[in-house]
Amino acid sequence: MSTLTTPAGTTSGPRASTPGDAGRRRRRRLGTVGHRVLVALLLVYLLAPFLWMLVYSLYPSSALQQAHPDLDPALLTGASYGRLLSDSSFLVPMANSAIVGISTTVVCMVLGSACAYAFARYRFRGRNALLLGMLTVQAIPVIVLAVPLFILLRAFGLYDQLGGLVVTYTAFILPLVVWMLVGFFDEIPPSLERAARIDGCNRLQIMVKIAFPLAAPGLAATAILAFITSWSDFFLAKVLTSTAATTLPVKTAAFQGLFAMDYTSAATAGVITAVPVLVLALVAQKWIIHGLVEGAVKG
Amino acid sequence: MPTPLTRRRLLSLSGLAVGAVALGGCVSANDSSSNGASGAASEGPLKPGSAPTGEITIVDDNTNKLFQASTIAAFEAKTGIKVKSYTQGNFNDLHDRYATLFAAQDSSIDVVMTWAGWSAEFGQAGWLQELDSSAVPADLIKPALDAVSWQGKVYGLPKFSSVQTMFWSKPLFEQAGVDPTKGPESWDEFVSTAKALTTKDRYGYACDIGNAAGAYQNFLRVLLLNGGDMYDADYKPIFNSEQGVQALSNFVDLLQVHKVMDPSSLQISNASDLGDLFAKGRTGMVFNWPFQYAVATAQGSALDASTVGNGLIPGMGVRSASIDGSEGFAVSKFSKNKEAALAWLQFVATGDVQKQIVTQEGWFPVSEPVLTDPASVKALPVLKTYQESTAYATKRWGTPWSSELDQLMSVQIINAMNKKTTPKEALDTLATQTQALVDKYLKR
Repeated sequence: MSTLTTPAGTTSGPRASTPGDAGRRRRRRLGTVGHRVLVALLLVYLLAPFLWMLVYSLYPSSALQQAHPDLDPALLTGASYGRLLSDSSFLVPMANSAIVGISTTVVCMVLGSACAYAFARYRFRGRNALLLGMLTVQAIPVIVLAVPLFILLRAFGLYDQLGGLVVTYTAFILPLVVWMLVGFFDEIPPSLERAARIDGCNRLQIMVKIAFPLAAPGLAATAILAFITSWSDFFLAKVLTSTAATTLPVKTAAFQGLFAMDYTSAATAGVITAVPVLVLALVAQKWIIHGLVEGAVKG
Repeated sequence: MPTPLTRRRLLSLSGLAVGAVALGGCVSANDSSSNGASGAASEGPLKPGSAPTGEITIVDDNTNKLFQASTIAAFEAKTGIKVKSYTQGNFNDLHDRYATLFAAQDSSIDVVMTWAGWSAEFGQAGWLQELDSSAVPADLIKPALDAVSWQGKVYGLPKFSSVQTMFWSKPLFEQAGVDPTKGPESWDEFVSTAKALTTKDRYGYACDIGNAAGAYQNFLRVLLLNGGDMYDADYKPIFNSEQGVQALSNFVDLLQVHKVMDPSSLQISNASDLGDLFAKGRTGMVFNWPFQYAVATAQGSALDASTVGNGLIPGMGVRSASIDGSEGFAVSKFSKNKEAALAWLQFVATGDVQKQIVTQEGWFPVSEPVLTDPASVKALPVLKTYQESTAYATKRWGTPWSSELDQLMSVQIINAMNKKTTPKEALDTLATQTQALVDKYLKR
């Protein structure tokens, strides 16, 4: 049996393991275990509050508000969900939140994607300054703008109106949407668009048929961020609404009184508020994994 | 053709944005230059109108159900004034809503719910309408009136009175070999009773220091119980006096030395949870608001009317003292129908409504005749203790800086309770922080 010898005199093929290799493998194994333990701890840390909220929503408060909480599965009940989901004083804020969240997302994505595409593809004086200026808006504490916003909405007859919230949220979220989408459009090779232009596409067709599909994961992630931001806002909804346009976070907070707290209802409302966000996050994750951008570039 | 975005134009836009932000930032209850304070000076205190008419809008917290259920209809029938809307909001959210509405000089709300801290904060800012003495019923109970006053000016009328008293479980007293017919009358008696009540399954005493307001209330109570006080006549903090330090030390000892305070007290964040704990027999003694009686005697409670003990809170340096939690209504400075709004305030303070506050909701009345009416005591036996408590100090010290003080105090009190700092260090630090707040709000 011959042995191939490299110029350096070492042999090819399986190499006898050395004590150093075993040490490296042990370290790698330890590293993997450590990494998994860390991830597990992080998961517990992140999920524990939500799980405790879920438990609170599913058990009678009398079972939990004692020295040793009674977590007997026989006590599990969905009564509080039934009660809230059949109560119009809860369903209306829920519908309000959905309308405001969806409308804000649609407006932000329509305006933001066109705007971001222009930023990504056109070079003009002040481009970077404008982009930076948009981010600056995000640095302004919302509380500072509460009174001017209130005065503006009242003047336009939009106080305590869903439209008022949509306009307000759009103003706050649109800059972030543009900023994020510019990054995604920048990633698309301009050569693809040049090819489409040679094939006779005009600018609008290039945007709709080339740029947007390729930036789909980015658009989806950004849309979800816009939805979550508007869906879960509490402060602006609190000061810019009264009764007609109350949203879910404001309604949820109302379960706490000065002298009492309805923990079960608050926890149930919390779970109901969190579910759409969780579902959206899961859907987006799947979409992003498809890796449309990579596929397009390879093709 | 679109205007080109030049550097000059960009600078102008930036300047406008910064100006808008600065304008918005100027608005706060602490700044009298940007609110209605100037208007307040020109108008003078509000007097009752001869026959107010029209409609009013009321914003309340969610403590009372009575007004929605029957008071509004009775008010409309008697005065002819229409309540256009009555909305209830979470107490913790109302402050920000009010601040926004007032800063914008909004006239859509005529009547707002208030308490000692907000009466001081919004009253000083010129956002609440000062009332003339002729608008204030003569039979109001003093601590209740304090809830709507600040520095000698009355900004509203109380809707119910609330003072803490001591509740104890007679069955648990009997089990511990303690006389169930009377509660402890001094702090030493209280500590020895709490020790007797403490077993491996439960603690003799529990309280609610789990949130910022709770920490303030629990400290203020022990401070008053030891003969101390929060401020001198010039609002110089004096709670870090010898009495204050001793009072806080005694309170910390309940948890750390005598081990009679339920450790969950540091997490209990509202009086309702404390009430439930007591009603379920998981602690022997609590100091709580009047509604504790209704909770303790409700169906499902381990107690009933015959087994709930009630009396004065035992003092350290004095026989007794307590804290006030009364609430009221105030008229917005920007209301377009102030006389009608005042009519609502006065209607709520009348004997008829106050009797219902006692019988239907279990709160103390704001008027003296209802307080001393035997029918009231029969409906709410705790009233007898309240009558006795009027002989002792009952304060809240609501100030424009109450909300900020609560936050600061919470940190220091919890640190002291957990022995991260000594009571003296905690109170000295707090006194320095409070002095800064006083200087800020009183513009020194």
